[in-house]
Amino acid sequence: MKKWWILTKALVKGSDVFGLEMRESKKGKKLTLFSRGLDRTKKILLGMVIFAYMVFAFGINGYYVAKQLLAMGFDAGNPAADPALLAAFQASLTQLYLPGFFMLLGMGFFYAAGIFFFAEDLDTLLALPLKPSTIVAAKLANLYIFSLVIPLALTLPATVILGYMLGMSPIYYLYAFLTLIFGAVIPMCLDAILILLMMRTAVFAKSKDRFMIVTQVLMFIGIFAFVLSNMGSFNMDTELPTTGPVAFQYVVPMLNRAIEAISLPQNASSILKIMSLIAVALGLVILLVLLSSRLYLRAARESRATGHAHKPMTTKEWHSLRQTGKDLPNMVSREFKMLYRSPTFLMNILAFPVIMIISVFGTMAFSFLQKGQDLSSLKARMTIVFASESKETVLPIIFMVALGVTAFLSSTNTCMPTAISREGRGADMLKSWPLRISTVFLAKLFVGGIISLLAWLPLVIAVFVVLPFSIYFQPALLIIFVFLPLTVNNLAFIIDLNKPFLEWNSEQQVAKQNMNIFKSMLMSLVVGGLLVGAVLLAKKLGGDLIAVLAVISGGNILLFVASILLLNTVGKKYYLERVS
Amino acid sequence: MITLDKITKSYDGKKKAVDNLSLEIYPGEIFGLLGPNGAGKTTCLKMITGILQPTAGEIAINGYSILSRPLEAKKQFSFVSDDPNVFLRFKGIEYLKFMADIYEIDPSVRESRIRELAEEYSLADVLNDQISSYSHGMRQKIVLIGALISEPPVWILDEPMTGLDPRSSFNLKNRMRQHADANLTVLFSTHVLEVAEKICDRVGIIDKGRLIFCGTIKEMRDHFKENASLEEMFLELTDESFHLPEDNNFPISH
Repeated sequence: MKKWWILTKALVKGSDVFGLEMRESKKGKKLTLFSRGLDRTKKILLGMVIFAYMVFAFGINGYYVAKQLLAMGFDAGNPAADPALLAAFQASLTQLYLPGFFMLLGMGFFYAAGIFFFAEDLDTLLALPLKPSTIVAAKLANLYIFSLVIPLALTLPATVILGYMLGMSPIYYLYAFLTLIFGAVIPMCLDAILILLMMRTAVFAKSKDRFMIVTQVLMFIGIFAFVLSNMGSFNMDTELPTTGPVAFQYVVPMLNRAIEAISLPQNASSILKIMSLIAVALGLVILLVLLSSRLYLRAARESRATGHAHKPMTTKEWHSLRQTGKDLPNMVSREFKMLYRSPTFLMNILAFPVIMIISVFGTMAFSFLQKGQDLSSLKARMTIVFASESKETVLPIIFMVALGVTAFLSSTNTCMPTAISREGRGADMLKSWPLRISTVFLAKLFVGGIISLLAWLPLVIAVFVVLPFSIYFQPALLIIFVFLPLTVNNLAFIIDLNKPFLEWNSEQQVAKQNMNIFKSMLMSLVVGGLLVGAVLLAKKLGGDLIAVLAVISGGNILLFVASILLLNTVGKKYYLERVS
Repeated sequence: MITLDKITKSYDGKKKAVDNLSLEIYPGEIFGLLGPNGAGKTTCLKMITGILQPTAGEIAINGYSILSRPLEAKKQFSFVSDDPNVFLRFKGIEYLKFMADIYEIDPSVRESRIRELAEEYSLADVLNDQISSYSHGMRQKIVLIGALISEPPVWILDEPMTGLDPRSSFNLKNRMRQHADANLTVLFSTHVLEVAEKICDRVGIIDKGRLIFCGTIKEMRDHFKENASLEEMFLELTDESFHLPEDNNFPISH
């Protein structure tokens, strides 16, 4: 127990959250997401802002559910009085808990893979005089501490607000909290057991890249499946759920029992229902620790076996050295190779922006179709808008929404806020070669631009196919879809040049735990806000639709040109002074 | 030839990583830069290669200023960094081809030169593998080959022997000597004093950002301690309690 505690503390302290790697900067400070470049006051402020945002963003769901239930006459003193309302309350609770647990099941698989299999500390730990069960238990505790963040953020604020507004008894909060902390153990243990079994049977070291790609694709499919299985779960009149996501309600066994207990806290049998969930969770932990001595040690050794046959150079390949290449095409090809040969970069940088845009608009399209609408009715409706006099009022709003959404979704293209960070410690070498800075910049901007255009292309085609042609509408929309993402790219690149994250040990740290990504998201909101503000100003000054379109087109082009100028001056200065 | 004229580097405006350092490294010599950890050796090399901008001072390589004419200056040298973890997703052969393109090596000599170096450093069999699959020593070798294929007049090598096997280390030392003998310049940093003593024509010792000695090993012995090894002299020169002799002829910089 003592060793377990010592090891757990060491792992938590040294953890980079999902990779368990000790990282130290040159100055000896630990580099973590929130500590990098921030002093104590700023960290506390940032923490408070994030906390307030999470309470608002995830808690608002609980507020709306409570408001609806109260409007329908829900009685917290006797929730069972109206069986229909009780069912709606329980379904709402399921909808609050299940997404968090489902996310945990998906993300936990990666965390478990990182912590148990791909961990950098494994070689050190295996050489220490520790029982496998101690290592597994400490790693599990570490996994749990960091995994709990997901359900805590997604579920807790809404559950508390819901209970408070409904006037539930204190036992409700106790049961809700117990369900959360013990329920989270279950998907996490299932992930860990699955990873240990896979480690035992497969030599991952040889196919780590493929493993990462396949599992990430499966996770995206899972998210889609979750969204789809949730369709039809809501009553359109009351806007309350009638059931949980059908296909996923067994992700956490006994969750339905625990939900019954939370919704009826005064019932004598409720404590037993909560205990049954706790029993399942603890049982899985014990099973995992017991299995560890049979699975983990051997699996950890065997699955890390490396070594592969080299592919000798052919005469043709030797001769290919005689071909010459130009700097810019070479640098562009190098950028693409760096991205697509790394599963982490492939999924998070190359594919993610496309998936994000398709997911957002795909979900909107599904929900549109689900409401019994079809393409012709949408076209008909838009034709009326374009033809009527209301276009003077409706179209500016559509444009403002398009500006905001485009700016934000463009920032999900993380190619540019990681453009220099991706180079890692090798960024030094880049600067020592006889290459023009403009060549380095152009290569990176070209790749970022291609990703942006590929991400937006399906949507642009869809919009142009669905919406009726208008001489006003389409050029302005095209300018928004082309220039705004490129402006966001340029500014995100400057953000990365200003403070590149070069001291990393795994690509995950660059693609996911890089503050420059968050900074560029904030920046995109400012850019979107500026353009929306300009449209509002034009309207306020009495401008008609032509004036609005001129402001949008001119504003976008102006911002793009300004970003290029900024890159050419400030960006180059940052490159020379800060990239090392 | 490398000329450093009163270069200073300060990261925070107060503490100087390199302090008013002047130095000339001539064609035909192997110059070893020595110093304790954190003395400023790597900062110095990074300023020479254009990776870092000096806070003050001027640097020229074969007459080209690295600040005002960076492209011409960079074509004069090739650099081996102290961290060989670059381009891990490239295959070895792709990296070498890339370097050959960057340094505009004549197509007619590329294949033979890369073959020769790859065989010399026992990498020919693994050139088709991604660099990420290489060991630390192999990564060091591929970076080294990448730097050597362009055969520039100046070599700048930061801890080049780290991770190399004895044969590769021996081959590199031979190549350094041949390069200097051809009236070209080699500047390298090292912690291995035996290597410095054996192959350097001159050495410079940096401590706390300042050049505390610059000259031949013989000069060091003449002005400092007769019959002492470089190790003994280095330890004493870089000791906290050591004070430079008040001797106007003590060779700090030539």
